[in-house]
Amino acid sequence: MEAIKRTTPASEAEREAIDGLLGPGEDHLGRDAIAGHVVRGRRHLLLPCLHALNDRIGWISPPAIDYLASRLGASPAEIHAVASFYGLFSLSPREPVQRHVCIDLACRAAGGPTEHSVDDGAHPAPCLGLCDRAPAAITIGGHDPEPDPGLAAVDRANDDVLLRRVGSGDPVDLDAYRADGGFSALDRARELGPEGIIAAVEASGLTGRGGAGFPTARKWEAVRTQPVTPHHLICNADESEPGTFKDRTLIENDPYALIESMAIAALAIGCELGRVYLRGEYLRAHRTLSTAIERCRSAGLLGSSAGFDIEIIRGAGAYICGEETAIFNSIEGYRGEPRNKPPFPFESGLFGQPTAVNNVETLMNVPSIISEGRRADRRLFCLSGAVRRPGVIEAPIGITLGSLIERAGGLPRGHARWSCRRLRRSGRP
Amino acid sequence: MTAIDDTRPEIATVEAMIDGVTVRVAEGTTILDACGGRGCGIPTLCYGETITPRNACRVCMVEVEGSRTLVPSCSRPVTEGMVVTTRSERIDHSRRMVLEFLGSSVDLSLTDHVEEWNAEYGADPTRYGPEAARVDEPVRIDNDLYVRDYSKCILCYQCVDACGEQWQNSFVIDIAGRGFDARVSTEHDVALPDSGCVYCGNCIQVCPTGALMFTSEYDMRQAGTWDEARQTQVDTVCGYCGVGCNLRLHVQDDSIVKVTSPPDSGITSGNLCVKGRFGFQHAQNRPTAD
Ligand SMILES: Cc1cc2nc3c(=O)[nH]c(=O)nc-3n(C[C@H](O)[C@H](O)[C@H](O)COP(=O)(O)O)c2cc1C
Ligand code: SF4
Ligand code: SF4
Ligand code: FES
Ligand code: FES
Repeated sequence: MEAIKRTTPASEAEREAIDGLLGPGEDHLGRDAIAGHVVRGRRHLLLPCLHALNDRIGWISPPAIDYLASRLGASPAEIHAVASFYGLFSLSPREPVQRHVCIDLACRAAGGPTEHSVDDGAHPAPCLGLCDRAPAAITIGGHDPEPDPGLAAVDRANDDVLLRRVGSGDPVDLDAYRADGGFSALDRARELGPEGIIAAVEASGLTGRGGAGFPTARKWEAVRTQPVTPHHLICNADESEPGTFKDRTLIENDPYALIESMAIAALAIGCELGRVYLRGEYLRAHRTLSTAIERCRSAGLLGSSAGFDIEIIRGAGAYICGEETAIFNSIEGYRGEPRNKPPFPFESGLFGQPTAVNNVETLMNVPSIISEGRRADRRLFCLSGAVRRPGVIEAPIGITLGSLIERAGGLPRGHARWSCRRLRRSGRP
Repeated sequence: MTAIDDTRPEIATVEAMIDGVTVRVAEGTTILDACGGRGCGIPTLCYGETITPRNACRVCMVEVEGSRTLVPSCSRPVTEGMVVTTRSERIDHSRRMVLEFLGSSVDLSLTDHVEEWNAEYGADPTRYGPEAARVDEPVRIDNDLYVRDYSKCILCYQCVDACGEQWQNSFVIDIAGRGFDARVSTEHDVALPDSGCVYCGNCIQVCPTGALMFTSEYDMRQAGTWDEARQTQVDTVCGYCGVGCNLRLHVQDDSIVKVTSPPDSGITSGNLCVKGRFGFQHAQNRPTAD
């Protein structure tokens, strides 16, 4: 590789942001003394480094890219290719604090701006997963990013399973979670062992809630039996489908349940480090989950003594990174483009090793399956737009659209007649 | 004296059915190669002679029994008992869409076979109308040796892989941006002379669309003097060093107009360095009149 010497070096703040993750920068002699594979083995830190630059400086400058390239043993063109892939990053100068304003469906219906009418200096954004609070906007960047406002709205019912704890007290109160029976499913899972866990999940009929509906037990069994180690678990929390905000609601309101679910899944597949790939725009969920993970580590529920730990990887504004093989590339520090299948993730996923990817809602089904032998026959629905009470609703699979809309308070006044008239005029039955 | 064991290891083979015909091929053979490789009738764009394809173009899709989705024949290895169909309504529809999407968004006029494929699959790239999104960029002329015209680029990744880990290991170009804004780019889109480019021209050699072109060819095309019918090709050996790379000189009217290397050359696999690729002018400096 030909190193091109550019005139401006990275600024002190840029180097600090990067060195904070990669360790102090080696001088030229020092760098040569470090084996190339050690340097290149840090490539998975590229995405966190880009976030560090973006949060602190506001954009990714050419000298910062050159410096990153030298620290990661990659070429500047490769780093530039990755940085330019993500919607949350900018390659031209801007302020460290950025405002992203939703221009998607629910927000437009609630009077939000279009791509061309967002305020000067704000970025038009696809659905931010805040449709229950349309029109929505978030602020990213700066030293202490401000989480988006308020918790998600939910329509709670007494027989809720997945939403059971939502809206009941402080979501990061570990004692309260334990007093409510938290971590008893994990204890039970330890008694059952991997095969017992998988059998219970199989019996529950649980299928993936991330879209493809693949039987969860089959996925876990395939990973569990792979001879290659380590095995990886990734919780897919990249939720970017316009109009969807159920995974955010779960993480913001019940983070310990996700941690417990992941611990059980990890037991089943034989994994020691689980990763949550969290949508970059979900700042409140990030803060809540980080706090919960920290508290679990202090309590010995995560970390080396527990034999399992969880790491959060922040996405950076790319819908496609919710696709499971694109997640692998993104975490590994490459452009988040999907890979070819086969090979399938269960045999060759993250770092080419056996990997189970599961959606947040899928995982959140697991504790009650393990402790109560429940059937997985309930789902979360996100209602927004023309309903009186937008929010997340838990209901049995098979519920009609009409009943869902009723539970969301029905259509606002005037709306139903207007749409019926429209339908009649368009000549549809 | 130890006897030399010259029995060859037996090559594992697999049997499959392609378009109703039973074939037996070595394990690892792709469906496309089992069908006869390039020119076998299955269209290909991102599948080059010397590059392992990224299956970015999706024009080579075929049906495999039991597979929900169509399968890229250039990359999917044949497995035991596989049943493959290379032509069906679904396949034709997919190829037609790919040809129309590509043809409506970039200039494929210099891409081999596209016209015949459009006719064969009934593809009409103009059917999205004049408003269809189109990559329309000025040709990048930033050095004396070759030009880059990304209005012709189908983002096939071949130049990226030729420059990077598959051949040159220079990693000077990569695909930057996303969606319609994705472009082959140097870091920060700097001009080639400001990048780490070593002008090996291996990217030009693999480009299937003419997006990357010798300046000599570009200038002649602009002047209307480029005429492949008048050209001959002469294979020779590069005289610059002792490696002995095979050169293929493209000659028009007694002048070398570009240099390639035979992709099947055991020495070069189509790759050269800047001297072999571009250092031909000395061979044809004519004495001036007086
Ligand atoms: C373009 C695309 C985007 C996707 N986005 C998500 C997503 O945001 N969250 C998610 O859980 N699954 C998403 N998926 C599905 C995942 O690839 C994968 O099937 C899923 O996470 C598996 O988990 P499950 O079995 O628990 O559903 C997406 C798939 C595609 C093709
Ligand atoms: S000429 Fe060689 S070094 Fe330059 S971009 Fe092409 S492949 Fe890379
Ligand atoms: S420039 Fe040519 S080789 Fe490179 S991606 Fe574009 S079409 Fe492919
Ligand atoms: S947040 Fe605006 S549409 Fe979802
Ligand atoms: S030739 Fe197979 S995908 Fe391009």
